[in-house]
Amino acid sequence: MSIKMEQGQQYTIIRILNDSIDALSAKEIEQSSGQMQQSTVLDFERVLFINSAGISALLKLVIEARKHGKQLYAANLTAHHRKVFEMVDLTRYMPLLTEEEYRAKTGR
Amino acid sequence: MANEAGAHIQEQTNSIIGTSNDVVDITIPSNHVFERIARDGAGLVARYLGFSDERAQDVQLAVSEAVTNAIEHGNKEDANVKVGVRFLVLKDKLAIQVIDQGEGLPADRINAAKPSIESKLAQEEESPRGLGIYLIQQLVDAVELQTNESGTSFTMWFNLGAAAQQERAEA
Repeated sequence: MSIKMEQGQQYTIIRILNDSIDALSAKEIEQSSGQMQQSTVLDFERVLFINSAGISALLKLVIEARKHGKQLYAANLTAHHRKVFEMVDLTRYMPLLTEEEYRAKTGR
Repeated sequence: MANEAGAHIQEQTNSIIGTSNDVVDITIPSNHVFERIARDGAGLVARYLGFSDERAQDVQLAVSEAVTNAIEHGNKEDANVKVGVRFLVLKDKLAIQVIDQGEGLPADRINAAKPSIESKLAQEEESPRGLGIYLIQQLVDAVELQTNESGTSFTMWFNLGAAAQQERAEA
């Protein structure tokens, strides 16, 4: 498994355990969309690499979230990945949480 | 290097190879597993040349995008067809060429406008792709596309910083 789901009362945390979000790992990430709650945090702490195939998988999660009125957030992104997300405007649809916001939202 | 890919790369790079001190060639089957080898190789070369960690990650991502493009759109994911990746270390820059054996791309592909994420989301695209070339354009110092009916060559240029140039001059 390259992802680990943690369910809380009001949120889901999707921890991505694979160090690369690319064409090979995209499918499993896309398939996690069915388990999103009203508020879902994607935790990128272990991710070292993301390319456009990976961003495409994340966009599919955003599409699913929007369809069902849910909100996706990103946490623990590296500075490089933050830059890339901003280049393609992904942060508009998947806002980045600070550590404090992450803790406040999930109690962790 | 496989013969066909090697010949194609040689043809494409003759003009600059004479000015390069170091040339590294990687040839991979058109399978996404091997894209990771090209990407890791790019990171290794960039760090060896003294690029900052942030810039080395830019190099890795640009190579990943070009190789993914070559695998998917050039060689149509046929694992029997090769993608060539050539690293040319020049005095003040690193050039990386990614070459496929596909049927060629429209020449204006390199001037891709910024993709609209909003449009992809609004249309609920099944496969919201098309970001790769845009990302390459954002990450490199210069890029050149050569394409014809026997393949496409992406050459990406990354300038060495002053400190890295000095280090290489003293080496």
